[in-house]
Amino acid sequence: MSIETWTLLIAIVTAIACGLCGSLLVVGRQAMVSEGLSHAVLPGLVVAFLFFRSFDSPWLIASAALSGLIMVWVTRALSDTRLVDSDAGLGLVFAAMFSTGILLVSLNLKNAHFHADCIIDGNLALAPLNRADFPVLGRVPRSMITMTATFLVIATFVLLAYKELKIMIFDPTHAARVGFRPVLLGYVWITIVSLTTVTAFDVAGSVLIVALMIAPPASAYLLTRRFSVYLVLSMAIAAVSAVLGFYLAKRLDVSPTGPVAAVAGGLFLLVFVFNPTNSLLATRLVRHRRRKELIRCLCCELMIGCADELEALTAVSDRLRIGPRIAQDLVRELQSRDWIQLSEKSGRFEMTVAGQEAVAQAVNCPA
Amino acid sequence: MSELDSHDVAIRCENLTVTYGAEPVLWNVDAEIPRRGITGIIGPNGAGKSTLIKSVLGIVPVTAGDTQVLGSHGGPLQGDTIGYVPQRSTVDWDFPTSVFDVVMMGTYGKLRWFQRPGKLQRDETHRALEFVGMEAFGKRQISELSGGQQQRVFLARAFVQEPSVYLMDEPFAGVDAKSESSLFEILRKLSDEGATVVMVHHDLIRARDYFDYVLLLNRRLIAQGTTEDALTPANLEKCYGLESDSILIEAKH
Amino acid sequence: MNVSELLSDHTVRVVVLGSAMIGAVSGAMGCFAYLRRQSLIGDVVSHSALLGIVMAFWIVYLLTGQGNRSLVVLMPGAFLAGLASLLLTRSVVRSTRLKEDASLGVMLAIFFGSGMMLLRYLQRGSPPIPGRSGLDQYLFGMAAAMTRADLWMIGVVGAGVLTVMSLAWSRLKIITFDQDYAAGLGLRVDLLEVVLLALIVMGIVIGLQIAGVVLMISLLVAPAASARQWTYSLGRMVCLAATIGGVSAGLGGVISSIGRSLPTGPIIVLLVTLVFVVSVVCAPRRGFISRWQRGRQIHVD
Repeated sequence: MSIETWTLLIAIVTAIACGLCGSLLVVGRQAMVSEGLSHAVLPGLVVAFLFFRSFDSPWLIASAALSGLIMVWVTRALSDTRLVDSDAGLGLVFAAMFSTGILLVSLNLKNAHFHADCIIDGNLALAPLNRADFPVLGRVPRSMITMTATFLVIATFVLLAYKELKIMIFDPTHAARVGFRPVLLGYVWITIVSLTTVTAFDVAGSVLIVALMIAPPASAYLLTRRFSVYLVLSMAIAAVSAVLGFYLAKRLDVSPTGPVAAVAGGLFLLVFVFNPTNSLLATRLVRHRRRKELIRCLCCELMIGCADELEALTAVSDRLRIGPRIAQDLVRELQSRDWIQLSEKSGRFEMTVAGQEAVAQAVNCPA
Repeated sequence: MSELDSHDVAIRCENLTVTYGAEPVLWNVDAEIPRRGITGIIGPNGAGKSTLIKSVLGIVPVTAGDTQVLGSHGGPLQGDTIGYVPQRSTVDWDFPTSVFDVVMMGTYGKLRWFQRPGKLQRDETHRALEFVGMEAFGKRQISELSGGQQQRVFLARAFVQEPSVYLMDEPFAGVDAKSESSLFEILRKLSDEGATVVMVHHDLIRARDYFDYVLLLNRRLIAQGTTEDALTPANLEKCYGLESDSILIEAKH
Repeated sequence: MNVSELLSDHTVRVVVLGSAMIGAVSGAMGCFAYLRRQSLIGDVVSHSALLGIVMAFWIVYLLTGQGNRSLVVLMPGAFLAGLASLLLTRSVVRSTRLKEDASLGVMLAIFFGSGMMLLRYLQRGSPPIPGRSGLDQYLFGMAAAMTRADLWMIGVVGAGVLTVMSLAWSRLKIITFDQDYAAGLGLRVDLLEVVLLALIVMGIVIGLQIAGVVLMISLLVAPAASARQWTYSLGRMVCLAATIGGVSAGLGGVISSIGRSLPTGPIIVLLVTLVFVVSVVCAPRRGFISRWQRGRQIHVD
């Protein structure tokens, strides 16, 4: 296989792993934890590298994942003291850890693989070159193997704990009531997120990890309400972002990090503006229609008791603060809908049964 | 329903309708609140009680209808006619500021953009603290106050404005029984001195003891009138639905 | 070089003075972001500003054929992009069921992602644009690149921000503490909100040159979070945060000028974090030590 194909494949697997991992973070309202982790793993990585002087040592992954866990733990401990709120605590801790990493790199590892730019951009372009022999598969890029393994770990976790995750995310009060306290599950989960961040870090860099973990799940979240569909869709959108971003990067002759992130963001913008159910335009449209319906109902109630159309018109345009022309259209429309009629008995406007039902349904409160 | 003479009316809402997003929160409310006495706005959760207060203040957009306060139309520039006491839980009590500072915020409405509070404002603040019995607490941190004390500070902040109408949102929520009764004494004093006191109250316990006049609200106005007239079992059932039986039993005690 | 030699060096003086001013303004504005619990919003605004910086540089290059890296060009771009990310976040939260944290994260992908893409594109393209190599200093901050003209710009903008803050002090205080009540008083809350947000974004944008977009959250929030532990008055908190920010940033500027190639951002971040740790441990009443002593007293009693 050509180097380009390998690069694309690695990008796709990384995207899918991040997308699946991030989809749980987004529904669990922990999205910004990924921003923290993608920075906090750096010092662990650097320290282990200085110690072992090799990128292929598994200790690098362990040390970096531990570094991520330390960030989560310190943030939590800090917010438990109530001296700072949890958002500020997260920001302070990850920035300090990342700074430590950057300074270690700048002081000790000049011109090495760990150039400061690579920390942001990752090394996707170089990833296919670092290969090793694996049984059955032959000579395959290491990143391909680590990312595939990472994906399998997350997928296994999701499949095994599917029911518990659903309860934990969607019905935490019920979970607490039946005595299901997912402490262990939470720790296992955050360890997996930290591991994913570490393995993806070398390939994708800190920017892209956050982008792939949050943007595709956010798009999927707006497109479906079914949990299983949501998980699959998150991965699919992440993969599409990786492919489109990859070709965009080739076109511009730049590292794929920025383009893949930008495409993931751009896809979200498209979904946000145009998707049919839960978007900027759809929400506007639904609210507009609903408002019009409510205005009709209110207009109906305002007309009750008026002796003739003229009186009704004055009441409606006065109370709703609308022009006489619009008021006239409304009043006529309501009569032709047969929501309200001039009663022959009392000589005043009265609501029909159909009108009362329509209003009760739209307003949804006791009459 | 008892009809009020127009000069006895402090607050009037006509066809007041408010929607959040596209959901109706208040629907076609025609209500009148008398000048004298203490008025309770009562209803279940989500009935639009806070929204009613906020629309009288002019701080939520009104879809249709109108509110008037003491004969002039409501709106954002009611200024010092109304003293607003928001729910205690809406602010961060760990905010770095003192009791005195919070109460002095009541004078900010009269200050121009670049003006700082001066001696006049400080004197008014002292008087307000004295009125609610918190003069010893002026220098205290607001984070060190009990629920009842926080509520008094909020009341003093409204008192500084020297308003004719007090609008209070759940002043007794999370306040112990002793503080509740001493707070109520302060409110009774305000009312006796001629102020209109209106408060949102979410349950019926002691409603009969507290209020001279009530509005029963559940998005629509269910009933209004003197406590005797309005708090009938039929009205309560209409307002609270099926739960009302148990609530009634509690209310009778 | 010893310290007195260093401070007599003209470039170093510019760097120290500029950094200190920046640190003071960011620290002061950070108090409002911190008290409104908008720390992570600060993180997203600063990341997003990269797109504005690179765009402004690119547009000016396309218009004039010159690469211009002065703050007069880049700062307005950063301000607009930061504000845009803020408004877009708000729009997403209001019109969809997505929560705020995810909406903020998405902004990182949209703005920072495309900012990085454009940055790398400009750095690659030929013919090379003069001045483009300095653009990526905005990632981690480089105080040493500060010029005299930048110093003026920082001075004017910083003074403007602080002036508006102190003139509108009472109103900014009341809308930070209790927005509903302020509206009930008849104050123009919507207008004040815009003023305050603009001030916070300015406080972020001005700091990017020394702290960098990635680490700016620390320069914004750490001085505020530290100052909060020592005092119980908003005025004193803002002054203290400005001092902490100013001193740390000035010191960071000096240290990075000694070791030429060290990015300024991480140094400043570690300095402000140190102040934060000391504050959390030692502050009277709130700090760990004082809590621990109180705990012991209760035990003895």
